[in-house]
Amino acid sequence: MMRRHALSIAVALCVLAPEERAHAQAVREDLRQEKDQPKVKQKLTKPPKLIKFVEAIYPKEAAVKGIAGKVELLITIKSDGAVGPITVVKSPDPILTKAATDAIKQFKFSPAEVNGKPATIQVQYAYNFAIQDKFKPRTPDWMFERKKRSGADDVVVGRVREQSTRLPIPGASVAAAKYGIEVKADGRGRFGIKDLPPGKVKIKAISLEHKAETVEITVREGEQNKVTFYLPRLKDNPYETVVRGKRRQTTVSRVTLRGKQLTSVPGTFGDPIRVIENLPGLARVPYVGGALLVRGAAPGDSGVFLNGLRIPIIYHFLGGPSVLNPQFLDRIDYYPGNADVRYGRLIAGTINVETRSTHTQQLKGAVDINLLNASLFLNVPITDKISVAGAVRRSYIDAILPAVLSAAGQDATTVVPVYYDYQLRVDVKLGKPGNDMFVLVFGSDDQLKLTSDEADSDIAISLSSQISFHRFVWGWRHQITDRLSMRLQPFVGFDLVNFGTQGANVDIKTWLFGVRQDFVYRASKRLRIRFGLDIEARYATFEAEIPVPVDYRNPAAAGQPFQQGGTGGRITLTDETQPVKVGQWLGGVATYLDAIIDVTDRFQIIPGARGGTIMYLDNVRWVVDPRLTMRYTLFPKYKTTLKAAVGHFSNAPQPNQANEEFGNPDLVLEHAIHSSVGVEHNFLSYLKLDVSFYFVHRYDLAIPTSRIRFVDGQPDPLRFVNAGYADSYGMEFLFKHEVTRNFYGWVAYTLSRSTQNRVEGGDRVRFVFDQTHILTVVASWRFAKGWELGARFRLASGRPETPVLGGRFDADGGFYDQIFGPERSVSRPLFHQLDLRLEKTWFFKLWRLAAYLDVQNVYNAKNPEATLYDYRFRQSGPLRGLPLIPSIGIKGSF
Amino acid sequence: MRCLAKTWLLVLGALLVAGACTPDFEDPWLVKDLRILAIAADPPEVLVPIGPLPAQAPKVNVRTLVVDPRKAADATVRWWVRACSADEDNCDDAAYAEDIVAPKTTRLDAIQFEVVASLELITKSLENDIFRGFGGVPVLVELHIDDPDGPEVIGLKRLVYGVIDPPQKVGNKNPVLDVIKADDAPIAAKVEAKAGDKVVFLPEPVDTSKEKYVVRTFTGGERTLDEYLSYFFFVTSGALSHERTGGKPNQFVENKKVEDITSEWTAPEEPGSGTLWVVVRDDRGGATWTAVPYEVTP
Repeated sequence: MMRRHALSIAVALCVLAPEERAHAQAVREDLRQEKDQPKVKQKLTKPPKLIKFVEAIYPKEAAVKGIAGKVELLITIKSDGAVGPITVVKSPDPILTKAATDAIKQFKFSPAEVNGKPATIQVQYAYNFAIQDKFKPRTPDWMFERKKRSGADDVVVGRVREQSTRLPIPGASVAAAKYGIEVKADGRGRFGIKDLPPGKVKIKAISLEHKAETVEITVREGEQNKVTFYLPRLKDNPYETVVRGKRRQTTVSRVTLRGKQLTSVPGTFGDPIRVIENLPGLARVPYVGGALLVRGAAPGDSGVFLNGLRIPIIYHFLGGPSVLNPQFLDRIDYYPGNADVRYGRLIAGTINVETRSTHTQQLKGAVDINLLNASLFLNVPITDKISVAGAVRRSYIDAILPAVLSAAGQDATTVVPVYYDYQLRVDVKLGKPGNDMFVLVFGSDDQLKLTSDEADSDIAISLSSQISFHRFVWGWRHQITDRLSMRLQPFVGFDLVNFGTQGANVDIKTWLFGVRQDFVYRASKRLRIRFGLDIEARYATFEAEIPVPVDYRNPAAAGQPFQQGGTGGRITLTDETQPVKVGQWLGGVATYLDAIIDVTDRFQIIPGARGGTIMYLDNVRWVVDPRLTMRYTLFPKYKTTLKAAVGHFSNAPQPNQANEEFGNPDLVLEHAIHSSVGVEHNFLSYLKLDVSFYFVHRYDLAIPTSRIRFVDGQPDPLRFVNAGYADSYGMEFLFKHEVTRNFYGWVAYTLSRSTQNRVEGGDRVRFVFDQTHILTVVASWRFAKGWELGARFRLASGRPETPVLGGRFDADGGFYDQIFGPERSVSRPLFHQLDLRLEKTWFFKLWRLAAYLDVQNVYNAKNPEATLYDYRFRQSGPLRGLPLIPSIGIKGSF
Repeated sequence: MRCLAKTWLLVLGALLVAGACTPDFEDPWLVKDLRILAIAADPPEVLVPIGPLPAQAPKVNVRTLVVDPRKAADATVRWWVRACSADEDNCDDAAYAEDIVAPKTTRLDAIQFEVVASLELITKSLENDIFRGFGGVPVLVELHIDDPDGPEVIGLKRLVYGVIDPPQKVGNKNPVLDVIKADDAPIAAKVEAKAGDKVVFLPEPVDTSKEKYVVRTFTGGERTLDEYLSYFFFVTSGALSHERTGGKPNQFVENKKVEDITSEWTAPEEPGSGTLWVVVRDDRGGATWTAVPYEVTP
């Protein structure tokens, strides 16, 4: 059973004199004070601070039985800050009561002061135990109005809701203090008050987690008053925090992010998936490119998955947002290396984005509008068990860019990205917790058009490219027995890659289908077995109308060996075009198995293997990739854990490299051996350190060759051979302050070196994006009144560069060639940049509105991203990175 | 509010065109110091009958267009020549290269030399050639010229040694430039222009410069092809609209200057004299050139 628990702690301070503390309770005290006007006003001059927090453990027995709910407790904090007696106010089950009290007994507070002196006080806590996806059958909120709860004799009826979210507040107190009347709101926040005399009456709604609100109404004989309270959440409550359920760590290098808390990292345009770029192991990409450069590997060696299904791109073109609306995001698992056996057909990093269940009790929505694009999200409950959510986003740079250039008085050659993405998900509950199914349809389309409309230009350029993908996924989760659970995901999809010019057009279409089935078997308390099937079949067609390459050779040509057909240019093609259509199967069938063995309470070992076939073109290659992970908890108190992993990874060469027409069909699989060791340590529950050392050896990599073989007397260039090898090694450091009420942030540092041979027989040189030092510091503060400020600072070594010593005039072509120094022997200057983000949120009764300003490169650092040369390679100058760029946007949600 | 919106639009525009910002470099058509503008071999392609290699390769005459506006016409420079086999990266490797002209000092306009490629050099080129000599064997010559006021200037020229195959194949010939027209009129002795004047130069090669030629294809067949001529313009002052015109049409870019081979020169504001050079290249290693003096008056 997939089980997580969410724990929320909310505290309403109840400031009491010592002699009164025995019968204190927040709500009642609030009422009593209003009614009786106490003789001596006690004032809390210094609130206690929670300095040690211990997370409550969701009892297995409760989870299995589906027991969930809120445990309300009254905690006595002694004058020295220690936890005293705990009184249970309300609890759905004694099992949960024990779990909550066991945790609270370990809390430590700083002493509180009343009227300037240390005092014993009481606070009320509410632990909310909730099994993930547990869904209490209820009538959807928007259908409520059809059913009148209140009786005809109720003088005042109404509802108590939370401001902005409009969520009902069950259990809220609604009181007419003057008449000593108090009622509780029901599960849907509804209430009714009888027996009020005619005249003006003050009605007050109070909730432990919200600010109280009072309205004055006039009661008339024979009339019924309707009141709806919208209570703002207690933002100023020093103890308010959200601790989300955590999956137990079973890997060495995985970093898990949860989306909603990470939409305010500067430089990410509010996109939680872009936050990955700020984690250890990922090299910085020039400008705002979205390539994944994980542990010194080429972008194509890493993979992105959505719900475990591979997708071709994760970001839109030219630094656009990710292809998934953040509202659909449940979590992101980022493995810079040593991914577990569920992931294969990759030799570098893995990113898996999981979408969330759309179950909701009320209509929800969000709109995000910024300079580049706009998006809309809607989440609708259909019945008690069925919910549907959809989102769509469209860029509009193509619409506004002409206006921009016109305003600037420029006609220029421009690159215009046009993109959209969509998601639709329907969730259906199937009885018991852990049994459900969903249908997910999602896709994305990116088009890039380069156009030149310069009236006076002699040259007209027209280039276009397109990447789009579409997926249809059906998912089914089923709890087969108490010990065995299953997730099944068949899918179909279609990918299109197109690029074209005036003279050529290429379409690569891929139809794909497959199934992913995951099983988890809890054999015992100390043994959990994961096994499954991962089948993916792709049929890719390469259709093109391309210029015919020359079928002769001109040795006088100035150019490269395979382009020796003419002079004066690097590409030599005839005037003719020819249709080309090539089809090939790709993909593979894999099974996997691993066992999570808790040898002792402290020592965990996870042996596993992934095996099956990988196919490409006419090749079907068998492969077995064994993997092993070990974790040993040295100091349980601080969760100090030593960890180590080693694993073998395999993948097919890129389709173009193994293609018969354009590559070498005899290529074999590429491989990598990942190994890493590290340590985790929690200084506090929210302050965590993770240090890893890694070494990755990749071999049998497909790299270019100039070799030509002769087949039937005709030259047949090999183009690619499995002669590449690469080593990456380094250290990754992450010091993280988890998301708390007012702050989150981290320091990520990567020390790395990656080398590989670029051509057959060549020496190893630094990887093109190799960066020795990469430091990223991220911090975000939340202030009162909805203000939030975030900062990101990045410092990274410059990429390697091959020095150009001068130029040599090629008299046959009429141009200059570079005279190079040692390959990639120098580094570009250090990169550094500070980004800031300021966000202000306004809370209205029915919705909330946020406006943000995201400023990249605040101090306008002139970072060189490339070196440009004059025509004869004597003069050089840097191509600067992006200047200071402010961006604004608004987000509304309800 | 409208002003603010416009500002943001401009910011966005700056973002999108930021990649187009490049440093301000010298224009390639402006000759300010020691430059090799052209190297021509005569003949540009050496053909021998199919059969055993001759004991000695036929002689090839190499002439150059080397200029330096900083110096007088009779100024001298020190230069030397190296020959290397097949791959230009081999020119720094003693195993594949040999010096064929020892360092010597001559006038700029007298840098020319003969190449009689040794059998050993051609054999090495053949061994080093990934096409094993199909279509001809390239031998590279590198001209090195010392510049006391700057870095060494290097020029590379490919000499092609092949066999007569197909039988009707004839060796490439250098193009011949018949006349250069200035504003549609043939140039007499020199061009005279006032400061800031615009003059359109049109090179006109003789008709036979655009040769038809036959090649052996990879599949053993024959293919008859047309040469395309490219025109390169250089001046010592003023400004040119185009450094290069003509050439082979590009599949990917529509370029009006493939058909319109003129280049417009804007005379400098300062009076004085200078030179315009036009170099013509075919796409098989053939080249020729001409120099046009000009006088700019106030």
